[in-house]
Amino acid sequence: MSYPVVDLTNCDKEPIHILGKVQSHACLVAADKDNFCILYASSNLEMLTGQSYDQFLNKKLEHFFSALDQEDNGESALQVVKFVLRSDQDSLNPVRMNIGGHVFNMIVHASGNYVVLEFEPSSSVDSELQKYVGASLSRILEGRNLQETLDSAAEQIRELIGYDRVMIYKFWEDGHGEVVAEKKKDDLEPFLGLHYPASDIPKQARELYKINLTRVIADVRSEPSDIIAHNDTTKGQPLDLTHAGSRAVSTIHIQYLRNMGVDASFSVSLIANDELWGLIACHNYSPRFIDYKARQHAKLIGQVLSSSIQHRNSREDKEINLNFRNVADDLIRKMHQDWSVADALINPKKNVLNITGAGGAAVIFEGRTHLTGTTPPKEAIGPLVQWLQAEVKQNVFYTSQLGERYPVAGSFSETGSGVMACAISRELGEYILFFKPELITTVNWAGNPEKPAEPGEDGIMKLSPRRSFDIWSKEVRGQSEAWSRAELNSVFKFREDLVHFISLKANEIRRLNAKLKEAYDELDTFSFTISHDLKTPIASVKNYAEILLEDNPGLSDQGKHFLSRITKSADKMNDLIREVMGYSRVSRQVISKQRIDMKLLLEELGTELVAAYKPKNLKLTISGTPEIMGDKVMISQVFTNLLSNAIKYSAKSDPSIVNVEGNEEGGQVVYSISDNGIGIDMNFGTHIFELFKRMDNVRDYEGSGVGLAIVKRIMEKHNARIWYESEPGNGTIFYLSFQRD
Amino acid sequence: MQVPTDILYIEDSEDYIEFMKRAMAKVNNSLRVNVLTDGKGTLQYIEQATSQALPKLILLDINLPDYNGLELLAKIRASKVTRYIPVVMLSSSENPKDIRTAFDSGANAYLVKPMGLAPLTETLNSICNFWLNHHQPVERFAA
Repeated sequence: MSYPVVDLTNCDKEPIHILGKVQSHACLVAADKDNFCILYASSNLEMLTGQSYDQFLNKKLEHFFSALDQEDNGESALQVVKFVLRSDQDSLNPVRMNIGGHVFNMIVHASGNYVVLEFEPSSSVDSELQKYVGASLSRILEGRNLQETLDSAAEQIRELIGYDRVMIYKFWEDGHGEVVAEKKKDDLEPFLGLHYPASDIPKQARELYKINLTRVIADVRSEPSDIIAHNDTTKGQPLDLTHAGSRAVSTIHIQYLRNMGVDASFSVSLIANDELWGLIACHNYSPRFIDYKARQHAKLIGQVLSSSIQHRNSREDKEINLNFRNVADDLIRKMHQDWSVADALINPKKNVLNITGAGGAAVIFEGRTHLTGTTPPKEAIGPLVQWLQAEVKQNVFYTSQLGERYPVAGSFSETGSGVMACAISRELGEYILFFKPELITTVNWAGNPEKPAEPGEDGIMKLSPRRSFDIWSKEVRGQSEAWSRAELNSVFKFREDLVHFISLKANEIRRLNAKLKEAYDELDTFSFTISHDLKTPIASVKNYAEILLEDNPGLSDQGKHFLSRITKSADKMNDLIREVMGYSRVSRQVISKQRIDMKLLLEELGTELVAAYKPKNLKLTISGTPEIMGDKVMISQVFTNLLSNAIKYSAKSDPSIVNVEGNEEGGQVVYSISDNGIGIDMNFGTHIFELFKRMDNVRDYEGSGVGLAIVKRIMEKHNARIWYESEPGNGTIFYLSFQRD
Repeated sequence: MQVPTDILYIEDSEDYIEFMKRAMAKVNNSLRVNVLTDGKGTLQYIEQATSQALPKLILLDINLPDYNGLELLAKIRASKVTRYIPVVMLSSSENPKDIRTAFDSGANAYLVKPMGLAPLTETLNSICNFWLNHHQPVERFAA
């Protein structure tokens, strides 16, 4: 003999519907449905007939009925059996029979090739029950919300069956149960709010609950009666008892109930949308049988409650859906209004968080991470996004146990056990992440959900439900509340709207950029053309002034002076035009980068400038000349401008000191050009780089106000930076910082 | 009726006609300058030109109101009569591509406008000395 390996799923495998036993309060016979030959009988049949079961095996059903001491010799009972077989209906159940001074209910159903007859005590008085149920149903339907409905159903069931404790038990998505309503005898410890592990009600038991809508276990301590088969004909096949209400209970379940101190139990299934939503679970602390009629009434209450739950569920779903939808619509509207994605999503009043029931959200967009609500720390978001980019292909991904797929999540399970990731752009790593906290950091579990395996009385290892029912807390690590259908719908829809908006916006920006560039180019062309066209008339002005002077040697000194002023002004205008053309040329030029030998460039430049300006007391030093990657012509323009400024504006200092110094700092090459000249008021800030801006203190110096603008433009073209330090009267230092490569 | 001409100047700007005349006078007072102010007149002139009364030098502005000076240059180079006359183009474009085109089309020199009187006089002086007194144009335009 080999023993099966014991594990927690054993219970799932115990074949509980063909045990071949009935509970001790009931008797059972089953006959071939064609010839009515009795092939199965419960060993306690004597209780009913006064004769041993073996008197009836392999005998006709008529023979059995005649033994029941009925006025009509069991004729009417036989008609019911025939009717059930013909019509497959149980509307004639139960058949009340007075047998040996006791009232029994006979319940008939077909099972495969057999017709099964169960005999149970009958206790209730029909008419009273009928009245009672009508009233209780209307009370249940009065409930203003689900909780009230559940409470009142529990109360009505308790009044109907008189059990010590009536609980309404709700199954969670993972199969574990929670007591959501309870009516009980005052002195009993409340179970309301407790959670039970999924293994308490094994999977195939849950399937049976969908078939047998009520189930009574009248006395957990009584020994069930075996069902004896007529072996020759049945060949050892057990009788299928799926639809037999008096079917004996799995020993595991019996032990489970006994451990809880329960002597009798009764349950009514609650089914919503074809799924087992929960149970009305009733416990009694002494044996208590509920007869067929009362069970039927309880079933009716259960069905009414079920449909009420289903109705409320769908209505509440709709309401939640609508709420989420409204928030989402508001957000999208706000985006269109403000033309900004991030502002709308992170709005402190109503934000993206409210399109789900999440506890926190993170928006990773355009290179920034915004957090709202209760979220994992900011440092955890980046790696999570990288993981999502690499591992998750869906646009919307969700889990209530992130840690299972992404172990790093363990470090922030408290705030982010559940994640729904909505990709705005997977490529750019732009996401909206919704977080749900670890749901049950501490839950009141009923007992120890880790069932210990204990040796049975016969020494064979047998799964035994836990023995201790003290409430103890179990941490359910890394799990959040599940994401609801409504939340999923909401996020899916929102993503569509959001992506649509972003593409709209992207197009708009592209359009604006193109327009701006066009305008910019136009302006450049315009300034180039206009300066060019100005040159001709100015040259004419100058030429005529010269002709006039030449042709009129007798002109007064004042006349000659005016003519020379005209010539000078024309020259000045020409210079300006040339500078403006130079400026607009810089932006039209394509830059071609190369390594520039700065030592050579600066030394040549120094010589040229000294030759041009002929400064009197200049001390020019050039030190440290690291190479620069740049356009040689443009870079030379930059240094020409800055160096000639330095020489020009320090000309009145004695000596005039100009230093050019280059250094490599990290990835940068930084040049400084310093002088001890008149200086610049730092309040002017970057205005000095604007076209035609000249400071007040340089009026006496030649200049057009274009040079620094050209320098700035060239630096921008090189992605390089320029800034300065200065003090009026104490000189100026200009800094140029280039990328090394 | 052809007027004896040393230099033919094709230009629509009154200012430049004035400046050029001044400069010419300074270079050589006896030079006979004939001015045409549009392309149409110039074409007529080329068609009617006889080898007896040819100018020794042509100054041709590129931007004329009715014609592009380069087209006129092509006509001058196409005519058996006028093809050996040296031509100096005048234009406000400094674009190297435009300058290149002018030389490729048969120009012998290219002057950028505007010019001050003094440089204009010096340039003209040098050109006239070269072509009017010493050299004839090279035979590169021979058919």
